[in-house]
Formats: sequence, C-alpha cells, structure tokens
Amino acid sequence: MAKVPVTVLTGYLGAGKTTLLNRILSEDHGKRYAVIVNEFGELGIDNDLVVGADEEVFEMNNGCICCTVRGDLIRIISGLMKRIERFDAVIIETTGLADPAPVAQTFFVDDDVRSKTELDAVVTVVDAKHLPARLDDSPEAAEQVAFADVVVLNKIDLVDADERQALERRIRAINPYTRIVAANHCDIPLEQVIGLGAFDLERIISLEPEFLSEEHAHEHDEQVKSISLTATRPLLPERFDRWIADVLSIDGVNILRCKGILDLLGQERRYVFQSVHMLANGTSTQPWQPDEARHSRLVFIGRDLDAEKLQAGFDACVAASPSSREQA
Amino acid sequence: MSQPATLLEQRGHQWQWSAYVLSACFDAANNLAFALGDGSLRLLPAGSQQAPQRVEVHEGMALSMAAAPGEGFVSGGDDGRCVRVAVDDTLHDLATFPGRWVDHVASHSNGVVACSEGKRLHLYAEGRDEIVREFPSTVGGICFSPDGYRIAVAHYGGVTLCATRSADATPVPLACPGSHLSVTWSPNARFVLSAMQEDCLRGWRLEDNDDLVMSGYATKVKSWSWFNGGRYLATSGSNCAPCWPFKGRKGPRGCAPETPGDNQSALVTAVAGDPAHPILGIGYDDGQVTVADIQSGQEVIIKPPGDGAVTSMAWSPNGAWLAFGTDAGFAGLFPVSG
Repeated sequence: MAKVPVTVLTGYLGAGKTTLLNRILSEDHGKRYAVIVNEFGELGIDNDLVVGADEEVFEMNNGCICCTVRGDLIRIISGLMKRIERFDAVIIETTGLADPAPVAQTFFVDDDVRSKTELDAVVTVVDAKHLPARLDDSPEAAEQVAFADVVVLNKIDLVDADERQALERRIRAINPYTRIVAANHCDIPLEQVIGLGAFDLERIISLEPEFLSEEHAHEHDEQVKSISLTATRPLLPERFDRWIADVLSIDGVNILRCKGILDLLGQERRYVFQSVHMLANGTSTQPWQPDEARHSRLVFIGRDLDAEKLQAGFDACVAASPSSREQA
Repeated sequence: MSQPATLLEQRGHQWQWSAYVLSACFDAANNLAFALGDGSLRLLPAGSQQAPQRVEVHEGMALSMAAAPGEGFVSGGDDGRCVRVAVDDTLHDLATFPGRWVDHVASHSNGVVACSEGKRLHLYAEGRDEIVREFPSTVGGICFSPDGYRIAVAHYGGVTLCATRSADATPVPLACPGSHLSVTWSPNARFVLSAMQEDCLRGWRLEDNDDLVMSGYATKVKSWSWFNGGRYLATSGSNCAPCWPFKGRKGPRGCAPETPGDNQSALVTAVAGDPAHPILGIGYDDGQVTVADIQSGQEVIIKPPGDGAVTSMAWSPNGAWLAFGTDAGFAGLFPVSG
C-alpha cells in the first residue's frame, strides 16, 4: 500500500500559516486530508479531519544527543492510520517558534510512522516584509528557512522589486535548494506545497533546479548558512561513507540538513544522499547518461560550519587520478 | 484445487470486516468484544452461536478497550468519549472530553474504571468523586495493580504509581529517561514493567526498586500477556515470542527468555497466553497464528499467513478460547481447551 505523504507547515506567527491551512481545508480539491494542528483557532473544517496536538519533543535514548522526536505525532499518526478511511495526505502545523527537526526526525526514527507514512516536504511560510527582521533577531526563523523544501514568500505585495531580490538572495544563502514561491494571502496552487516528494531520493534532482547553480553572494553574515562542495572526479565510495558518517556523528548537532548527488567510482547510477542532523539515508537513482558530465555536489546547511574542514574532508574522498574511472 | 481447510476453519469461527481490528478482549464472564477502526464494537456473548453483533459506539475510531468491572466492556475513542458497553449492547457514557482522544482505558473488578486523554488520568468509581491526575507528558499506558488499590501510569521519563481511591496520596515515581509507551503489573504484584520507544522493556521490583532491562527486540513491544499462573510474561516485537520467567523472587534477572514461535520470515505482533497453563497464542505480521506449548515445545499453526497483520489477541479467562484480529479486518475465535 502506498505510503501517505506528510507535509510539515512551519512559519512564524502572522506569516500566513493559518491562511494556507484554511485554503487547504476549504478548497474544492476532491482530496481528503488529515490536519494536525496546535490550536483549532479560526480553522474552517469541512470534509477534512482536524486533530489537535501538543508538541511533545522527546529525546531518543540512542546515543545521539540531537535525536529528538515528536511523541505526540507518533501517537496521532499511528491512530490515524487505523481509521477506516484513507487520507490522501497528512498536514502537520507546527507552532511559530518550533524547530522543524524533531518533526522531520520522527519520520526517520519511528517504525510505525515510517511504515505507513513518508515525509513529503517541509513548507515554511514567511512574511516578505518582516522576514529580514526575524532572521536578524531569532535563530528559529533561520532554522525554519534552513529546513524548508519550499519557502512561501507571502505578502509579496508589501515589498518592492529590490527588497524581493535581496530577500531571495538571503534565503538562498541559508538554503540553496529550497524552492521560493511568492504569494499574497498564500494564493498559490496547492500542488506547489502538497505532494512534492521533496524527501523522496528519486525526485531530489528534478525538484531542485537551484541546487545545481553556483554559490550565491553572501550579504549577511548568517548564523545558519550553507556550504556547497563539488567534485568533477568520482568519489571513492568507502572513503565517502566513512567521512560522511564521521561528519554527521561529530557535527550532526549543527548540521541541520545535508543533501547530495554523487558520482561514486565504479557506479553507473547517481548516488543521492540526504540527512536531517545525524539521521541519514542514501540510495542509487538514475544512471548517468553517456553524454553527461559526471560530477558530485554536496550541500550542508547548518550553524557554525567549518567550511575549510568540510572541503578538505570531501576532497580527500575524491579518487586520486582523472584516469581512475577508466581503470575501474 | 481448493486449499485444505485450516484448523481455524475446521474448529473455530472467523469473520471478515471492513475496518482495522484494534483490540480483542474477553470480560470476566468470557463474553468477547472486538474494537474496530470504524468506531464500532463487535460483541459475542459467551456461548453464542451467532455472528458477533455490531454496536455503533464512537464517531471516529475506537482507540482502546478493556473489560468492564463485572461484565461488559469499556471503550475509548477519538471522539473523546469513554463508554461502557453492556453485553446486551446498551451504551452508557462514563465521560466525554470534546476535541480530545481517549487513548487508554482500564478497569478493575473492584469497580474502578480509568481512562486517559492526553496528559490526564481520570478514575471513576461508583459513589465516589472522579479523581483526575495530570502528568508532565501524554499518558502512554495504564494498568491497575492486582489488588486494584493502585494504578501504574506510563509517560515520558518513567512510570508513576498512583492510589486509585484517594486524590491525596503521594504518587510513587519510577524514573527512567525516555518515552514509556505502555505498562503492565505482574499478577504477583511485585513487578511493574514498561515498554519503551527504544524497542526494549524496563522493569522495577517494587520491594527494593531493583530495575531490569530486557532488550534485543526488533521493534516496539506492543503486545504482552501474563500466562501460566503469572509465571511468564510473553511479548511481541521479535521473530519469536520471548517469554520472560517471573517464577522466583528475582524475576527474569540473569535468565534467558523462552523463545517459542521462532519464525524467520515474520515478526510477532500479538500474543495471548492461557491464564493457567504454559500455552501461548502467537500472531505474526504476515497473518499467521500459532499456538505453542512452551513446555513440550509443540507448536500448531491454526491459521496460515494472509488476511493482514495480527494486531490483537486475547485468551478467555476460562481458558477455552483464543480470539484475535488483524489490521485488514479479519477476526478469528479458536477453541483451545484440551
């Protein structure tokens, strides 16, 4: 049975999360959603099921200090999956100040949740006018952008073209592979926020055109930022495995997300990799085409990242000579 | 060519419904009920030759069910209701919590009924005021002590033992970091055990708080059953059904569990044992149901794989019947005496 996709909705109070939720709930989309909210507030409930949650963040006793999960979500999602009706999607609203990591990690860690549902995307709604101030004064705002597969740049009419450009640059400096969608009153097609498969390794490449573009200029000295590593020669698989496992186990607390598309020595398929803090998964996907330039790209998003050390470690995984592929 | 009839088809009864079977439960008078994901209960009075009777109880789904004191059942649902269901299918609302989920229910033969919604535990007894206790996090599971004077409550950070007849008595904390998802009290009253998010059991010997860890499970332990006069606790969560010995004063400390039902291709998802004998019903995630004698080692498959994963299992108090249900709405009742 196909797994039910789960969309996580984050964003500061007043950014427009409730507006988006109301659109999801009221629009005539012919789908049945289960929505897990913090407060019932002004939600119009029609055909869909709305469940109230208490954000209970639990530490896991698995020797990984950053591994926290949402206990209440495990309980609610396990319950939802036993109901007689099937849901087309589950949408989880988080509180304005919430760290998205425990929600995302719940979908990596818990067997029951993982067997019936899969994380589809983290969607962060931001207020175009107020985002710069939020990024300056609160680490949570930057984390929410860092985790986002989609940033809904809401209330776009309140900023001019220059402000908008600066804002998009700033978002990309934090998170180069997020998709930015501009909106007023969250008036965006729902298919741009639901059913994206952003955590689906098979779809990572096609979904993130920005991922492959060059680095963006940094105007602000962001606390949360991204580091992009590239290699044009293949990587040694075992060395890369060992290195990335070390990096995530030592610096996983500060690495919020990591995604990569890699050319591994001796493998005809792209290896796609992603992580949330210390929890990682990877798989081989589409084959490289004969006329295609093979390369590896890996992006880390996090706090206090040591760019030189990451670069050196990554470089050490690159196969020694350009001719090594021919020999392999 | 048609398949040979299964033991269940030859000797027992089986039904196919359209919703997830969450719970199978016998009351003290051996009446049987199944709680379903469509909010209904299916009632089968002891000795009835009819199909179970459908009783509409909850708006959404039933989340938990227990035998009621005396006869009948108590059911909690995601419509926020805690309902007493009599065997003649009359309903009586014990409590309603609008917008909440009643996650757990339990009862004791002394007449006390307990339910939890979110972080709160509610205790009801005739002729007394309701007792409410709030915990720092959502209640994972509840279980009465054998004498009914106390109730164990599992939550994040451990288990708390509370008095059932007084709101003033100081609760006893049994601390252990992590998320505790359910709790059980040994029939000899000496041990309390909890099942954790981290695929293990924790336990406490109450006389001296000596604590136990039972690990090695492949997944969370969601089903367990005291059987053979309380000498064993059978558990799900592995490729076999580990049965921990609780014969002596030390409990399972230093002892390996019995491991009936070894199956390389499926995980045990539900267990229920004969209250008086060393015989255990074992249900798997592929739908197979086996009955195992853990003394002789003899095992009999009463139902082959298929029809969904076994979610719940119960052995009748008189030792005569084994009932089970699956996540695909299949339910069975098998005569096990003799």
